[in-house]
Amino acid sequence: MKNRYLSIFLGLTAYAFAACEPKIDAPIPSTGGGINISNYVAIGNSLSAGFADAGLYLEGQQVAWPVILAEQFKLAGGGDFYAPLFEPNQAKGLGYKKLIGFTATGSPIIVDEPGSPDAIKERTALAYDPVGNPDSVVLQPFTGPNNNFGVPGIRVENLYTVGYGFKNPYYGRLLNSTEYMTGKPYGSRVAETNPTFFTCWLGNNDVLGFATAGGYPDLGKITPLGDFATNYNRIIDEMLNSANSPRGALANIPDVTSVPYFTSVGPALKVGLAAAGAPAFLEYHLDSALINTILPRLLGQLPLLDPVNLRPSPVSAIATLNPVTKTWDGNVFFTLTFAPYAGDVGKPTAKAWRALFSQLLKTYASLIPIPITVDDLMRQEVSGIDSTKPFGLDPANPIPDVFVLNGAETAQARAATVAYNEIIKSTVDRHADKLVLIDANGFLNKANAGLIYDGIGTNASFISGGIFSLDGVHLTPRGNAAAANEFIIGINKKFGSTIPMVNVGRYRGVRLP
Amino acid sequence: MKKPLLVLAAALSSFSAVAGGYQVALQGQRQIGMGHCGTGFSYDASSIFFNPGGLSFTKVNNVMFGASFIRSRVAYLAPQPSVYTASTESPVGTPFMLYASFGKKDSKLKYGLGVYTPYGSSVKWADDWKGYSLLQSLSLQAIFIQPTVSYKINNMIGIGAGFVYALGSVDLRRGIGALNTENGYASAQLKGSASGLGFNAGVHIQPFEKLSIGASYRSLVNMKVKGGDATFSNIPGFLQGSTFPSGGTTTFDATLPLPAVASVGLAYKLNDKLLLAFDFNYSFWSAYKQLEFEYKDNVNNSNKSTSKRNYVDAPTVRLGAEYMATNNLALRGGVYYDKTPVELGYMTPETPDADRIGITAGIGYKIADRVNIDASFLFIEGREREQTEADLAQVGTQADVLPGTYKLRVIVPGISLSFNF
Repeated sequence: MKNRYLSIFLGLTAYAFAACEPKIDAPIPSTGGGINISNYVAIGNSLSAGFADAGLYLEGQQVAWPVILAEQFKLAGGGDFYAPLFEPNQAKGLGYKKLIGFTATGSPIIVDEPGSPDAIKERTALAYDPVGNPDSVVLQPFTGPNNNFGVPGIRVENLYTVGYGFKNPYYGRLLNSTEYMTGKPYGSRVAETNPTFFTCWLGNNDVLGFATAGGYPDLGKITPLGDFATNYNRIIDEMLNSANSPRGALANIPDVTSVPYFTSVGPALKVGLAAAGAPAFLEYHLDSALINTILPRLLGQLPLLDPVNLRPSPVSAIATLNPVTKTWDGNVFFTLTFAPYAGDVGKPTAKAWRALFSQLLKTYASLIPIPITVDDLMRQEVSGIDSTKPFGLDPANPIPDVFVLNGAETAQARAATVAYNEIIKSTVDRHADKLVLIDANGFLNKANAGLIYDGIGTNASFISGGIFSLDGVHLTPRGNAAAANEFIIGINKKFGSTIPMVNVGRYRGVRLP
Repeated sequence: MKKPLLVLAAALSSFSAVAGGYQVALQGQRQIGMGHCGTGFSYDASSIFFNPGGLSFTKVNNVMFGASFIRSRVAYLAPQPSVYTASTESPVGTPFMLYASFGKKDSKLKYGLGVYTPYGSSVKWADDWKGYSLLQSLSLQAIFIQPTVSYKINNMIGIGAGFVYALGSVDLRRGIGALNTENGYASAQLKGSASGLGFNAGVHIQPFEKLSIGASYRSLVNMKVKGGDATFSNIPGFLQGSTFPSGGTTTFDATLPLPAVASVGLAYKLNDKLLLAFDFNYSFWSAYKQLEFEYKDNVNNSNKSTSKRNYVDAPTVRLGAEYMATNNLALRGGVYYDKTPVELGYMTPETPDADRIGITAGIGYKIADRVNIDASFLFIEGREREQTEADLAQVGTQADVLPGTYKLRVIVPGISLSFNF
């Protein structure tokens, strides 16, 4: 009797242990019939390429948001997605930035991680582009199928430029030799991929180059609106009219001043200047400085600095994050490139000018008829700069244009961003049955306020925020995963699909020393 | 972990919460078989826990020892549209109970000692699961040692009270996903032993031969950890000594409330063979407002980390029956409904709690004149519960809680042996 009950008891126990697993059935991801994701193609710029830490390198390419998006598509039956990855021996591309520590005062020490020599095919004057490719680098071509046409540096302005592959090695490497030699434009090449679905995140560089150069036109211009509209509409039309009549998701562009490239240096400098009692700082505005100003003045022995080009900006206008609204109050921004010189403000030094001249000489090396050194340019009778005067506060030692986005320049950049976004939105509206707008601008504004993924807090702060990489503009792997989710949310909403979201916390933020 | 009793605890007990919050309602094998009813009847030395007032009504002295074996699983599905699922892989937990009663035959006074484990939790998620930055594993242990005295005022009323000394430990591990180095993310481990004081009192009333009524109150016990070890691994060097303690180690203090429970119960003897029992417990979980760790050195730039819990008081209703199939064999069954103290938006990975239904069965067998063996089986089904991003946003717990759907299932076989003398 006892044994019988005991064996029933033990039997029940064994059965129950096996049946114990609670289960929640995961729904089966579906395209909902609204999209065909058998051949997904991404068109875009550095953001789509996985560019990060001021460089394109293998680790970034592998977590580019289109790659992550395609992985999620695959869960809903999506086709293979090929990214143009560097080979292992080319893994470091043309090099990138690395954080190795912090100074005693807490400033990050960011150094160059050299690139992989094997990534470079050759250097040739044919590939010369003063701003984008001053080293005239040609990268080893990528052969094999490709779905990710993210090309670092590309502007909407460049989409139909014949021979753009010569100027931009990141585009050149995606072309076969015939396409390369015949100078096939980007817009024509991507339409030939015959996608069934595509994403497009273009336009950032048409304003970003101007802004990151502090509004200094030699290093970056704002693309005229008419050119932007023509090229943008053309590439979308050509994609939509391609063989498979695809659906697509178009992202707009964020307000450039919301990225840490513009927001990490100013606030501390503002505190310092205010404490020193300085009501304003002085910026020297340059118009096409080297070619039109410096060279003639160097030859004619006229000083570079002309008081009419001095631009004072009130210290109170330097943008700081409003703790309540989490938006940027103020319209004057310092660039991340100014970080090494921010401590010089008010001191008798002109190191920032030396750095600028050094960069200009490198950028325009092939245009300069006579050998010139930085010391030649720094001579006071040439430059007019008096390095014994307090930097940024004295008219004889102002802050170079390239490091400051002043109120007027900020307004220009913002106006262009708003106008480009209008063009992008109207393009989507015109093909409302086929396209969805992804509000990348809104997403980065939310990031400024702080977003939590899987219990991990992120925000748009430099280094600690986790979303932006060491260049302050491009995304970390975590930022790429978050961006992929923004696309998924928009695509699902528009097309009735149930593409699964990605676990953002799985991806890293900035790698700390 | 220096005290021998704690070593014993470590060997024997790593409990999953089998009642709401981190309560472990597994304090007597006979009672478990009857839906864990036990406030309303006096049976043996287990009254030390269920109702000290009933101890004076026990007819013989006895010593009993038993343990349960908890197999608890929580399934998780990430917010839609996601296909990500995870499941806890918690080890089998073994809460135990040891009761001994003493007293002269026919004396109105009875003494007793109980050692039992009314609270605890053991949760282990995969190290790389979606919520790794919130929790990877948690082990909470609490052992109550309760010397008790019970006095039978007359044939109708008995009262009793016990002093509770509680010992315990906590061991929590989680990743710090916000800090990434070339060795992956940083992580934290908080480990310490705890102690606390409380009491347990009750009254037992037997108005008729067939009916008995009981009420008991087990007080709040604040388990205090003093100088626990906080270890942070893979913290970037530049953060050590400022934002994080240098070397990654410091100590912490924390207090975890083990809430008071008020119970009333009644038992009715339908006939010589059938006993019916009813219990109502009310757990004062609202004592658990927040989980706070105070650190000796700065951790993440602050000497304190606080996360909101805001538990609410929660009732449990229990029904049970015992049928004497033969003189030596008792068959038992029961059911209970356990309301969760955890509100929507507060379902943390350590207690992704939901309302539960418990179904129990048990047998008791007299294997010798003075020796009883009792075995029980408990099946708990938690209601599938979804917690959305919006639920988190509403209460502001995004930093502590992972949205998604959770489902809990627990099975607990248990056995005990008792000797009458």
